[in-house]
Amino acid sequence: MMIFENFSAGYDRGFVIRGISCRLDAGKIYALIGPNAAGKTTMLRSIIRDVPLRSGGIIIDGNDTAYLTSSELAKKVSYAPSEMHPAFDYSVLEFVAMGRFAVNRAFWETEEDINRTHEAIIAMGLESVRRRSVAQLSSGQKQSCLLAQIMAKDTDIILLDEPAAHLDIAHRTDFFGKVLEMKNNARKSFIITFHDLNDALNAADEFILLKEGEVAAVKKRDEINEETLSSLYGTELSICEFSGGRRAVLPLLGH
Amino acid sequence: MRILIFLSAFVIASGCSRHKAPEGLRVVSLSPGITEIIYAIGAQDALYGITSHCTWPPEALREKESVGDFSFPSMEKIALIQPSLILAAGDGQGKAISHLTNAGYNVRVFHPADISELFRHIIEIGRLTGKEKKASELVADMKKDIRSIPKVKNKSVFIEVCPQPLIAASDKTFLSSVCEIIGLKNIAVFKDSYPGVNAEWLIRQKPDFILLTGSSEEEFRALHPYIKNAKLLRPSDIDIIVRPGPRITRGMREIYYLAEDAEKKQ
Amino acid sequence: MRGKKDFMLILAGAAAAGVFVFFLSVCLGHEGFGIPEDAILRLRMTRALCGAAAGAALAAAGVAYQTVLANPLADPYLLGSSSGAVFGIAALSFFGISRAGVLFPVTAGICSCLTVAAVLKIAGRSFSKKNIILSGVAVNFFLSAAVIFLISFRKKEFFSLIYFMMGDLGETRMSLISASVIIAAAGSLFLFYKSRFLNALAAGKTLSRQLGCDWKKESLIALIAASVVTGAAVSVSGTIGFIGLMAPHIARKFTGSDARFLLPVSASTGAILLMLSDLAAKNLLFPQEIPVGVVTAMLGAPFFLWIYRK
Repeated sequence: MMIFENFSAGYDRGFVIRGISCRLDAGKIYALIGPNAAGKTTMLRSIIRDVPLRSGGIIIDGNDTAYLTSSELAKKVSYAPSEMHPAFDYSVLEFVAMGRFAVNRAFWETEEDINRTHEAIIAMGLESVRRRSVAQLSSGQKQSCLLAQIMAKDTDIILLDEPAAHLDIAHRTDFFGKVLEMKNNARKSFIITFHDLNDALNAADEFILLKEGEVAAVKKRDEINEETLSSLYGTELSICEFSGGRRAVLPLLGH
Repeated sequence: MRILIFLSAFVIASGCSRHKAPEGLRVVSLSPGITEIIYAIGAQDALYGITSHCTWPPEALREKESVGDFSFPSMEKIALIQPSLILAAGDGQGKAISHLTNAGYNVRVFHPADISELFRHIIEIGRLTGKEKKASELVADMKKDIRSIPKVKNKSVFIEVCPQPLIAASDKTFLSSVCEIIGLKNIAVFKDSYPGVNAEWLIRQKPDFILLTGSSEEEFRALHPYIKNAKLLRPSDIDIIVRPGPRITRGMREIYYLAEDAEKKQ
Repeated sequence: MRGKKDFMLILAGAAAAGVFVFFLSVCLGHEGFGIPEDAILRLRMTRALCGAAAGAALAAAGVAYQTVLANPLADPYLLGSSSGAVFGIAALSFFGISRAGVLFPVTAGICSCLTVAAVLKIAGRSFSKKNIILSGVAVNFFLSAAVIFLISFRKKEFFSLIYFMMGDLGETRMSLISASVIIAAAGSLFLFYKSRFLNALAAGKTLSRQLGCDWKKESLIALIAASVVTGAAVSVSGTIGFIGLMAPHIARKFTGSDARFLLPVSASTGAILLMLSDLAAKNLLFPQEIPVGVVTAMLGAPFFLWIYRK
């Protein structure tokens, strides 16, 4: 679905990603992992052209993204930032409905727009707060709003930047549950940067290992072992395995 | 900035006063009207400085040093002239006068409220410059001239100073008192000399005439299309009607004839 | 979700309130309430028209500036946009051009665009709330000084222009008023037509991109439209501060932030605010007048501080 061809992007000052070449398949969750300052957010934002392209390109469904119009690109890819601070009091309903703007730019929403918006709000469990201002919601609810907006947009590719960074363990589980549901039921593809490697190990199908702005490797879930993670982060890590194939990663702290 | 200029003027002035001041009378006039009076009584030899607005008589600006603007004269230029007497008009010169007084200059303010006060001021300027005789002759001539000017019968006038915002010369001004002599009653009765007024109020007051001193007839008509009934009077030379000076009698005559012509046209 | 039907209701309400206040400012005078004689009726209608048009235009521009910059403190006056327009008009009178017509609002619009560009350039790429306001204030000071410098050469118009810088609705030249009203209305309607883009822009640079809105292009278009509208408003009313700040915030209380509803209601609120301010300016010291910009600043400056502290 998505092919990076010697892709480089970045501002003159700030993080830069360089020479990325890889191929990502549809209907999978990719975890974009790597140490701080590896360029994870830059890579996600460069896919939606929010960071200037330097060379190479990205091909989505056979189209080079550099030649798509903003609205064509928005119909293919969605992006949710890790945090948002809306300057004005848009209600949850208005915020989620904005997602439909990418699909239909007419002055008034059509009936389909309205139905899709309501479906997304129900799916994300935001019904009770739909008239509240997005700015007043908790971090977890804000992330749900962003995902609902993306759901209403209905794109095949979804990029999430540390979506669970501010969520507690229960909300995190709930959130990734919904992501898995979207992957399984609607065959959406995700590229997600994870705040917590444990979430990545449990939710992702494949891993993009990013180091100093370059992709070190793309590995399947079962190819990830203590060695790959330790060398990626430059510190010794151990992986514990539990029943049912679930895994957790722990740093070695000397006591 | 102004404070800096003032300070330097102060330093120069106080520095100079320690030296021997030049002999004789050295007058600076800060008002076009006073400059005209000085020339009319033949005291121009004692005049060393005038403002850039002193356009009459025409030779004044050629012969005399200009000390700059009416409201903001240059303190340094005045200090260089070392005047023994400064004559000012008062209106709009409050800052300059207080700076000059504080710097130790001999400042006399002549701000006539009406024509008889103007006469007293002419006599006083004559006394200060040693031209008493010429001054009283001038006053006598002016009085005679005024007596010969016919009067308009019971008409009201609005005296415009600025068209937008609309500013009037109120009954407290010299110009208003002059109009009153020729039979034009000022409708703008205010505490201030030059109040800004509302166009609605002007429409309601229905003056017979509007005396324009700040705009031409076309300009005024364009800016105030709803003020229709009043007849506009626009003197060809504004200076002769707004300056309290020897030419005011000509100004009064001009206003009278403008009013008479406007009446006839109807 | 609100749709066309709610919109019609809200629009009718806002229009009715605007018409009511227009009627009030025509009929309410120093002598009391009533339909005045013909000349005064015309005078008051012209003045109320100027007030309504300038107020609505400034409010529409305010909505656009606030949403595009995602900055609740933005306002044509605080951004320097109004001062830029006044500078344009002062420059025209410096060159002795006083024939009022299309030239005034067009020049004012161009100058206001350039000023906003300069302010944003100075504020830097981050568009931070405080940077923009600080750079707006600095540019405002500079332009006010430049205007006074320019008009020092035109003694005759000096006072008129000083008064103009404080806000003056006494304009009666129909060619100027009609040109400005048409430009302001066209610009405001264009912004209204772009309402959904404004909504997307309000979400910020990155989110607006994921909504399929070309952030750079669309914010440029909206800023230019807002500045042209401001220029047209300024050429009939002078510098009137804070209407573009207050009106959108008041309107948001009724409509929420959706620009499709916010823009028309803000325009109506702005028109009402300015007409009421002018009623006060005209009648408080009757028959003397206070510049209407003084009245709006006295209301607006505390309002600004309140928004700032929120």
